[in-house]
Amino acid sequence: MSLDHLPVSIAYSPKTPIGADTYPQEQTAFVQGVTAQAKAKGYQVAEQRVFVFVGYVPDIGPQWVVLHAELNNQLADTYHAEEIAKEVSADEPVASSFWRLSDGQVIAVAQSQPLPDGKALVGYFSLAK
Amino acid sequence: MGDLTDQDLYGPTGKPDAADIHQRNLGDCYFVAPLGALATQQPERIQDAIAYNAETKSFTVTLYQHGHGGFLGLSDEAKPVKVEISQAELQTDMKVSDNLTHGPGNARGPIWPAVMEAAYAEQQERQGEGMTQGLGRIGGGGYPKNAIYALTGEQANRVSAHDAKSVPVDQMYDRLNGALQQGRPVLLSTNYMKDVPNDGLIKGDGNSGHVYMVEGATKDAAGNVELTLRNPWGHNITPGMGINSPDPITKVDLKTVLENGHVDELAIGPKPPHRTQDKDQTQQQGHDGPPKQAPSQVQTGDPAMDRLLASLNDPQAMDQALSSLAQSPEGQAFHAQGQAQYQAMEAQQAQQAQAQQQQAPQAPTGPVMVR
Repeated sequence: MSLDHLPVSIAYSPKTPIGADTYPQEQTAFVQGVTAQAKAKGYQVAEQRVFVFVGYVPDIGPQWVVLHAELNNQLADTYHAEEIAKEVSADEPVASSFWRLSDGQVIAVAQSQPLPDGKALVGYFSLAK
Repeated sequence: MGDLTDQDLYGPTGKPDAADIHQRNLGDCYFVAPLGALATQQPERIQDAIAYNAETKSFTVTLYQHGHGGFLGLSDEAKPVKVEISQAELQTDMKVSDNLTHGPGNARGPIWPAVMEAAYAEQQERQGEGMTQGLGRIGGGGYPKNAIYALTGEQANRVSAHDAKSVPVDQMYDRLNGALQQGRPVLLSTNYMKDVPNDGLIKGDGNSGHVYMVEGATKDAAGNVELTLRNPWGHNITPGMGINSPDPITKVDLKTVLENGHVDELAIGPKPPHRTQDKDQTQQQGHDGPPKQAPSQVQTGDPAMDRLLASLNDPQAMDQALSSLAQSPEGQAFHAQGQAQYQAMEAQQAQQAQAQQQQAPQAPTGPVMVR
């Protein structure tokens, strides 16, 4: 399954993945953080998509707990995914979850620390052994 | 960011407010919803629980854990615990959990939810762990009854959906409305719904339910009971989860959410504390109580027990006799045996809770894990 098939939240703006030139420093630190977490679990990042998470209510901003519920339900319903690990951190990423899909593929979804404008990055990562 | 002080604790009202909470990164609705309900119903409890130490620039929070009291220390008695939160720990909570409201621009909202949450996380830390691990522990779901106990030192009255359904709905209205009028915090916990519901509550998150603060209960002329609930998320925009509103308040028909299986249980917290009044009442009862009876003449052969029996009508002497009995070798052995049994029971319950957390999907027996 391609990462392009994963649900895109209404809380992202734009609704398409950003390039490496958007929030470049923050994105580098974020991806490095997720890569390190994946490595600690015996995986490497094979593919990634990064979005800008503005939140469900602009005044409130990014909320991992709501995004997690949205994605977890959709992943479980569509791909019979099982959440196999989750972490929170004071570093990068602030929160992450790892799912195993019914075909055995493992993906990670993570949220970055707040960006200077109050938004956050959300990344979808396809992991391989 | 400069140091945070008691000046940063509350908003313009000078009191904690449920609207100060926006649950963001942790799955701890079971803690922040009771915290918000307490802020609405008994703000003084939270104000009394938090002290700022200007010298150390830290906050001290009084929480409660199960302790031992009563006869030979065998009964369960809430033990107040002072949890000290440093500036660094508070900043970690605000970074990891970030459950505060954010004002205009990037101004920070009142910090009392972060102080309380950091203290709860520290209380749950295990040896050698730090604030981040503690936040991780509380952020994976839990049960409101445990949070209510930690915040108040008192057990919540829990009404399962099964019990609530077994009585007429207006009886439940009387109970819930009465509790709110008495100033008690009231929480509604949900079950995870496989199908997308259309009842005002969210579906839930992968086998876990959610907790709402109950802020009101009304009954119309036809006898329909409507509950006013506050979502600790700070809104109800939930794509694919059954409700889509920027308003954190949602209204639900009690009968509907009981009958469709969405409600797991209702938890009713304790009344506001009236310790001085309670003490006065106790003293008053002492003066007006039944006439004193003659001390027991029974002799057991055990001096400590005989002193206790002889003191039955003299509270001060009884207190001394109990202390003496508790300190006797037999009392100590009995105490140790009781403690060992209690610890074994706690360890067994912890193991069971851990085993339940590791099971996926979770069987919906007993209270449902909420986050």
